[in-house]
Amino acid sequence: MSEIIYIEVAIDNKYYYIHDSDKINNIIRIIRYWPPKSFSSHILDGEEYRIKITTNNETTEYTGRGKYPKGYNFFKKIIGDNRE
Amino acid sequence: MNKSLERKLSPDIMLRDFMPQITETFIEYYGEENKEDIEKKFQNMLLICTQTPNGLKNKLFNLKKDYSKELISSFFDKINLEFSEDNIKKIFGNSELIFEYPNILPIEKYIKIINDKDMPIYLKNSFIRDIKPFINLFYPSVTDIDTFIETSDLTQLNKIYDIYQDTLNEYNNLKKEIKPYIDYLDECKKIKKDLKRKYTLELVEQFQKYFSDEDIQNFKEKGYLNGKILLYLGYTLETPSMIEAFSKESQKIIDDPKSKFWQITSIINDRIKFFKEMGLDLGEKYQNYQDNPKCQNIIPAQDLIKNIRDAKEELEMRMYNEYFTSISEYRNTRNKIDSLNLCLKDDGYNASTFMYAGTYVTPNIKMENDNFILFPLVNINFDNVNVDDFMDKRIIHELNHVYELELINVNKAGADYTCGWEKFHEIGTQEDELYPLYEDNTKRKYELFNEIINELIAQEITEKLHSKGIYMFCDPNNAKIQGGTGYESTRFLVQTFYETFKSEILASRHGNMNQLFEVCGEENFNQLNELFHVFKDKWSEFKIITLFKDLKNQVNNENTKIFYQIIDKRDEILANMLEFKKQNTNRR
Repeated sequence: MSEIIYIEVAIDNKYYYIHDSDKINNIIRIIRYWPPKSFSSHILDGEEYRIKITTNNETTEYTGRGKYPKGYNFFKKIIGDNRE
Repeated sequence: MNKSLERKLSPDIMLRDFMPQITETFIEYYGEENKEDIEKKFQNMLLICTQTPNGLKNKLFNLKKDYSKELISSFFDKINLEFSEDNIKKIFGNSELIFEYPNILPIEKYIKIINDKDMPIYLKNSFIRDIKPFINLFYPSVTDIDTFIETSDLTQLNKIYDIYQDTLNEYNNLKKEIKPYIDYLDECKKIKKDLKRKYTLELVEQFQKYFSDEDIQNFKEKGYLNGKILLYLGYTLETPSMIEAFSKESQKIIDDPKSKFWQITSIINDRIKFFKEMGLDLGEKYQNYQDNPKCQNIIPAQDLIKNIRDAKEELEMRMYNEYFTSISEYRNTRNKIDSLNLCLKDDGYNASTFMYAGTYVTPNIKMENDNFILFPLVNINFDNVNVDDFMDKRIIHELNHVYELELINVNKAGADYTCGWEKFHEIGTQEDELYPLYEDNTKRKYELFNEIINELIAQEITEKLHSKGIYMFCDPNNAKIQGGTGYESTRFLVQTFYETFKSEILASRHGNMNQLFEVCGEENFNQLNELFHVFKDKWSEFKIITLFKDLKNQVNNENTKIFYQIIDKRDEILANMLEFKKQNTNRR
């Protein structure tokens, strides 16, 4: 079985490395429905996200900018992008 | 507040202060004959500099981080030690915001050991472990830290601590200066928390017949979801619940051979978890559950799954609409706008201003001396001002829209405007509107063509501004002008057209398009406009990036073939325009 070993997230210049299995499960529950690319062509500002999911067989990438899929805010909270 | 902080956190003050220089630059660009019009338009507008709570939170974090770095660099200078990651770690530990939690810093633990003779032994031992790298930085041969502290002359270390204290005080001074912003974010956080609870309760009540009174009471008392409610409704309005794993979308993922294995596994695992939580634990293998009649009986109906998903989306939308119109930044600006007594109540400043974090101009009018005058709202989003090298150009882009705005007509039905080559009609009344979470990206007929022309003009005006040494929010070394907008991808359609017909283009931007049609031909103009729609329909969103990559690598495929057909059509239209101009010139 291709189990997820870790997930890497880059949001603009911030980088997150997630290997905790509970966090991974919660992240996957949100992003398994996401389109691989989510991009607003109107303007190019707005943060860019890149997610790389690594299993022992393959990697999957999601990218987006200016347009965020459902659950994006909660996803950021799970990965720890919730700075005060 | 110092200028640098003001620029980052109160951009409205900075922008207001730059307006005379901006106005002067517009006059230099458009000519003295347009001075009165430019000044009048820039006097009769409201500049709104929006920062979303998330944007401000990021800004404050980066501000504290950058300032910490500066302070540490200065600290190392004062103690004559190399400013390296390793040395930072030994004195200050690993945190990104080093001075935010001083109690955990090795240097603080050092002074605590010195001052607190009654420290419990377990704590002292732990602290000694933590400060060893710090001590060894200055006394490399010391191994017994406890004895060293008890018996040695600590003058040098204590002096270093005093310098650190001064550094910490400087950091705390920054925190005092930004306290109003931190308090504001705390207020936003509380509003959001209360609203989340309110709308989650509404969700629970909407589906209460599926849950026990005990579960519902539990939620009302504790404020969080668990048990069957959690399985059905999920942790938050935003996130999928466990029952989503039984939805048609999830089944499609399972059935699609192109789906990733981890996507399928995640869904299957959620199904197993659902059955177990509902009291049917048949082990870890999904086959055990698949054909089991008891399991089949408790799978929620598709209608219910869809109803819950739709209800959550609607409540999430209502929640964010209420949130963004409850925060004080919105309320204060709303009061300012309302005090202007603008005639059109649908003024474009609403929850969507924060949800989409957009930058735009909304036309409006007010009465002055028994006449209607233009009074637009200019909303500029400043969330990324610290990292946006195009910020100055973005502002000028919007101000050029303001300059190009013309009021054509006002009547009971509303007002008619032109802005560049576009015509608008705004109605006077306002209905209460809920804004969807995601912006509609449908384009108006001339919007794309109009925007790239506005963008080209804005780039030239910004270059003029910068050439005078005036930089508003951009660092002179990093300021960028061309790019930073999706419109840039259509520059290739208009560059030559713009250069060839520039004076007529500029003359036509105030609702008088005949000035342009007379030289290039209206039909030719509309054909060029059509190419924008062809381009956008073919290459929306990420497909543009793939196209540009193929072009760069000189790949010959369907994509590039169509692109070159568009280029050929563009060139044909331009040739027709030049022929039209020649013929019309000859006729005169």
